[in-house]
Amino acid sequence: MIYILSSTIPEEFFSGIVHIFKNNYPLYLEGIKYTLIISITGTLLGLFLALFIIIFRIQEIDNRDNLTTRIAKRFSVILSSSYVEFFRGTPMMVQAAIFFYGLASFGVHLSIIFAGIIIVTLNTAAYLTEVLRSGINAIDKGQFEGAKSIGLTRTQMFRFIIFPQVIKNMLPAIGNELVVNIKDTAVLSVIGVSELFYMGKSVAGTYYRYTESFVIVAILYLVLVLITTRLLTYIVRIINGNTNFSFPKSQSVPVEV
Amino acid sequence: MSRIITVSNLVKNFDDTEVLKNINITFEKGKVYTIIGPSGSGKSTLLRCINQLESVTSGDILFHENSIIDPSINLNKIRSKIGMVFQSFNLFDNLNVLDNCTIGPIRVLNRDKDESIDVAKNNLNQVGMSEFEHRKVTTLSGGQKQRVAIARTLTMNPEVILFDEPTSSLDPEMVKGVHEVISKVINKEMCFIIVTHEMDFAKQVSDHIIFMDDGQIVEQGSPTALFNNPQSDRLKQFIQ
Repeated sequence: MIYILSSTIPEEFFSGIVHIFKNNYPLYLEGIKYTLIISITGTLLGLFLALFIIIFRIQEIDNRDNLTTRIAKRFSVILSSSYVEFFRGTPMMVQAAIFFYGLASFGVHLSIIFAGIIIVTLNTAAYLTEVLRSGINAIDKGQFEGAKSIGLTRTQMFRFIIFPQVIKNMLPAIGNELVVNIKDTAVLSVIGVSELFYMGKSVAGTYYRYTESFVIVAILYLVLVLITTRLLTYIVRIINGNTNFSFPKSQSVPVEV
Repeated sequence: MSRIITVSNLVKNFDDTEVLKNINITFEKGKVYTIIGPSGSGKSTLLRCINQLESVTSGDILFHENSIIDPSINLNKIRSKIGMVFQSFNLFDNLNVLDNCTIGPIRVLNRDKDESIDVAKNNLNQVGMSEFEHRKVTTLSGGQKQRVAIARTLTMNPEVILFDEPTSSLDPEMVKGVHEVISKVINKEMCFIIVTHEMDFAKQVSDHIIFMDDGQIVEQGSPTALFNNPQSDRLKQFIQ
């Protein structure tokens, strides 16, 4: 069967690509669907998780605190920064493998898609916690002093004054994280998530035409990222009213704060 | 007149530098105090200790009868009664002019929203900023920002207002306007403590002038006494 299939596709490279895509596009579209579901859900959940973790990360010991409060604050900072260090310091592929096979060895069998979303969420939360933290550090000290001087509590200060400014400033970084996630979900193929890369691999295996299939995968990723960055640029422009803004496409672009 | 703030034996160190050396002074209701002195003399630090934006190294500060140094005291409640106007304005960049004024009364004093808006509008009118109430504060000029900052502080109806060099970061032509606004809002129900480099303004508004140098109060008294008959060499040299 495989022999028959592979013998019917044209030998020539570009015709091969066209042939493979024509006959298998439902599989690629299925892959795109899961790539988008996992990366969008993971990025949003990761943002919410980051907003929760940052509360622990920014605790500062004040000389008015008693011993119990000091210990609690110190502990929450150590815990939250360890979380960030672990998820930033290890590859997502390794995390996915440990998480999925680790739970399986304890008899917990998660749906693969669900496991994928959790991994992307945990990872995104670690990056966005750092983005939030640098965003908070970049806010003018006067904003904090103004808030303190009228008697706002620390919680009110962050809720009404600091976070609204930080989140507006970090919109590009959140969008950038989504773009990175669209590409990085490819590593979830290690646990068998049927996202775009995994689908490309299956098709490649069917025809023994690896280059052609992965070129299709690359083109599809590129199209996804280009559409996403343009949409995000448009959204950020609407929110910020800034017409000169354009979107970074690579993780190596420093976070704008 | 009743004492609102009593500073006793106040010492403040930044690392190894003694910024305030044993300060003793009281501030009373209905009076205007001006603190003058060369840069680095500790004027602003003294002001910032009074609302605990700076912690103190030793000594005590009483607000009425209560020590604000005491860790068990509700500092936010004290701060809501001691307003501060900053050199760099420190308006909330994410809020418009009116919301900058009402966030304190609504969130800190738990006042009714409509009532807070009325009070805020009244104060914005007093500082001449009524027509800007829906503007983003980032679009205002320095002088306008400082007027809004004064209205924000007034809307809290504090017992004390601290002014930390309110005109030092303004363009010269804006200084006069802000001075006029400060003179206008001065009243007998509050205590005003103003750190300034503007000697004419100090002479004009003050009941009591405090001259600081090198972390100490060198001389204090009425404007006439200090400017017409300075005792210390340091003050003579400072006002020439």
